[in-house]
Amino acid sequence: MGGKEKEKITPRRRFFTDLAHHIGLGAMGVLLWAGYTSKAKSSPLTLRPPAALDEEDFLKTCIKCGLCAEACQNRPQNKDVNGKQLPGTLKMAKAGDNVTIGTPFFIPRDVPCYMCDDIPCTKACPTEALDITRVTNPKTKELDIKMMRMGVAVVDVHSCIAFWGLQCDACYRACPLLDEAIKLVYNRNSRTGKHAFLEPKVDPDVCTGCGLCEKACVTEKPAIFVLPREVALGKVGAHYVRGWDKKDQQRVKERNLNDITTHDERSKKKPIDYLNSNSLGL
Amino acid sequence: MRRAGEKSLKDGLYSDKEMEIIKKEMAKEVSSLEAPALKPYGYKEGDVMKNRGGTLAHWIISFEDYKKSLEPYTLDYVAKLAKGDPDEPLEEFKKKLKKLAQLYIEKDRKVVSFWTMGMNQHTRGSWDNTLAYNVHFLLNKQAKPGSGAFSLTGQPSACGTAREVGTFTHRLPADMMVKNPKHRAIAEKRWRIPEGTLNPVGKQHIVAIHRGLEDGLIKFAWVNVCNAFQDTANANHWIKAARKKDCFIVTSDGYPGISAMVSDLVLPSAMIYEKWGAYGNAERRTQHWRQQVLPVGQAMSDTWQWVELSKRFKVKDVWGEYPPSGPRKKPLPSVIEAAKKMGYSEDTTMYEILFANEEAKKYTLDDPVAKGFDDTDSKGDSRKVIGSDGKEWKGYGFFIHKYLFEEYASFGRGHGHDLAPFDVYHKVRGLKWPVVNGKETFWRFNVKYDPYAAKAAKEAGLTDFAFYGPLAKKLYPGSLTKPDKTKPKIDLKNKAKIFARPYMDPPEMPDKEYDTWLCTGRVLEHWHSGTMTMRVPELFRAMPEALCYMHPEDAKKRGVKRGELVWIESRRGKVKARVETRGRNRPPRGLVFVPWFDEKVFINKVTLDATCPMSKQTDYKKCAVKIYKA
Repeated sequence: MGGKEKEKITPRRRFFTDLAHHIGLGAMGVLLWAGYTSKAKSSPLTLRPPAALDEEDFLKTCIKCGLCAEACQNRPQNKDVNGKQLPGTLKMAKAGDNVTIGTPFFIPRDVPCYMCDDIPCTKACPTEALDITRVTNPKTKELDIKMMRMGVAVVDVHSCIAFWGLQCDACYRACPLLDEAIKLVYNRNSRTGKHAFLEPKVDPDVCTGCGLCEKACVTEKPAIFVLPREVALGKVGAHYVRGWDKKDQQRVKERNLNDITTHDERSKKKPIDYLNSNSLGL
Repeated sequence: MRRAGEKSLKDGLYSDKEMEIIKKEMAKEVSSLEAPALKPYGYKEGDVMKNRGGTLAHWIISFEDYKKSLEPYTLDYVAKLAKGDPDEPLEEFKKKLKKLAQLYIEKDRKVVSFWTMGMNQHTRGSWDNTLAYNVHFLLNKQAKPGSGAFSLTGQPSACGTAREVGTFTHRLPADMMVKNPKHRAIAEKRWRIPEGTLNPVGKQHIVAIHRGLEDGLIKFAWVNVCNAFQDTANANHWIKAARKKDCFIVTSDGYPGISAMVSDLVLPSAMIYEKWGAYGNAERRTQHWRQQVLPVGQAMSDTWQWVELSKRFKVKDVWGEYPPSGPRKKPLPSVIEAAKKMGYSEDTTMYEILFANEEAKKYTLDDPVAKGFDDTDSKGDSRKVIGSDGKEWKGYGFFIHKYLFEEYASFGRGHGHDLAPFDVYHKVRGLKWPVVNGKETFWRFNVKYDPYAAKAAKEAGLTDFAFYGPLAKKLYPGSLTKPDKTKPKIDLKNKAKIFARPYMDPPEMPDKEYDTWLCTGRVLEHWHSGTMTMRVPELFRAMPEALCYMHPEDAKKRGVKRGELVWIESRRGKVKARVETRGRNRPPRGLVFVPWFDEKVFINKVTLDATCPMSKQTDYKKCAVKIYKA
């Protein structure tokens, strides 16, 4: 595993690529025009395929060829027990999708990512906009889909019925990394006095953003959903480190002293002026 | 378990492959694995054990003999039998067993052991259950607050509607048995039917019914409140029998399923809150509900369907003599003359005797409990459904639900199964029987909590517990191998029983060709066959398809990737399912788990219909399969 194998060009695939060429020429003009409209920019909530570069680099590198979406659609797993073809996860953006036209994305509530071990979409990318090294174990050189970080699941604790005290677990059980990416936290239900809350809690260090939880969520609009990591996650910075964790203490070294300032707007004033200004009206 | 001489076996309805296992059910050689466990009972490796009738006798053994029966179960032997994961080091597993034992035997620790139906669904399911109780009894951790063995089976129907109410063919209400003439007499009197009416042979458990259809012994089956043709193991046979044999099958359901597909007649049933009803839960809690909404379309309750059927049978049609049939070797006598003496005529209908009798009519429609609520069965409803007589349905004219419940409840009152009056259940959120003087019972058999135990203890001079009840309370003494009928029976009044039960191999175990264990079961999202829940959009979205959960190494060995389709094939049938190696179920190497809620992954075509010889429960938890890429 790991290497890019030369794959046979099926008639189906040839049809897609031929179609892409023809449409591509015609569409070029539209794209050029579209590039000037604000709608052409992807919503910051767009979820990209596995191993995608960071959004800015991704947009520069993706040639909108559609090979990833095609590979996703045609993977042998994408059939039901009767052999019927199922919709693929990855879609190529059309006008009105609120995503840069022609780029791949997915909506987990419609079709989540099933985390194929052989990651056909990433392997199919001709430009490394989907960067296979991001999902390759550096030691074993084997593909590891668990390394992908397409987004992170977030829980709305008010609309999640588990936080009401109802037993649900749908997201917990749908998670391919059960009990790792989503854990259940047990809390006492003081309303009834004899039941527990089984609250889902996402570990963002483990969550791949596949969206199986979002798909499985039983509420009308999912109470657990995937957001791009840059939208959903904060950053502590180097001011705070876990003093009890040797590894975390290394983060202090991330700090560039030149970047640190204790000055702000107020610092422009001299202290002596401040003392004499009677700005507090004393 | 099969016995030689069964009709379908003589008729050759089973393939050679199937016969390999059926033969083991009929007669088996003691294996090296089970030989140590069977040694105290006088068996050694290579001995042949035959499945014969009448082998389920109970007798009393001495404490010394009981200890002898346990001697084989050293830590090493138990670890060897019980360890399911070939990748787990034996010593690690032994540590776990020790830790578990330490927890249980810790003197002041309270322990509740919970188990669900999976533990019962084994060819030795009854033994498993008694063993769990043994542990609690021997440690004095039973029938006390915080301690006890607790089978969680049958929340809504198996416990409360089958066992308690007595809808099994071998049972009558309130734990009475059809084979007991005294019990039959009580039921016949209460139901106002002549003495000798009830069939004393009740052996038609669900698998036997399917086999009876296949054998042509049973010509008519009516499926209610379950999806019997999806639920039963070794389904290919029963589907074929239902379709090809000369039999008439009716399915009453709210949703179409596999049973409806193979039926000759499908009747639309009202669902739970579209009718009045009650259920009994695992903790003996009885709960009632009123009809909340009108049924959909032309659907009517199952109760209504049965009662309507009873209108079509008269005394002269059903109470004449019956010749021997199937397991019943004696004829049933005619009771027509006896019926006439009771004031019935040859033309009196079963409806008039069983349902629309004088007692029933005392429960009038102006009952305050019913006021303001729909009751389609008793009063009809605004849908103006056309009834079974072709006229608009206007109701029975009396409060049939209250009558049926009060009649049923009268069986247990005063006998340790006391249920509260019908009206009470519509004021409270369920009560645990026995309900005595308006109070429910939390811990049965405990003198402090159970008035029946208190009474029995007082009479017998006991202090803490009285395990009252009449079943098998006088038994012969004997050795581990047989009872000694020359000695007088021993009285076990107010005593609980501890059973000596050995380990025994299941009839089918993985071999060279069928090299993998198949275990079936449920998923949280779906109720059993999924007949209802697969039609609930959010549950369908959360769990749309049954997967074959497999160890990643096993998948690799077979050259299948996660998400690809495999065939799961046993000696009986095969189905296709998609492989999952991650997520919620991560079985050890050598075992796959396939839930059975998905009719498209009809896994019961693959499972083995071997049943526990005591409970008749099917072993859905183990059979041998081979798995290959589809």
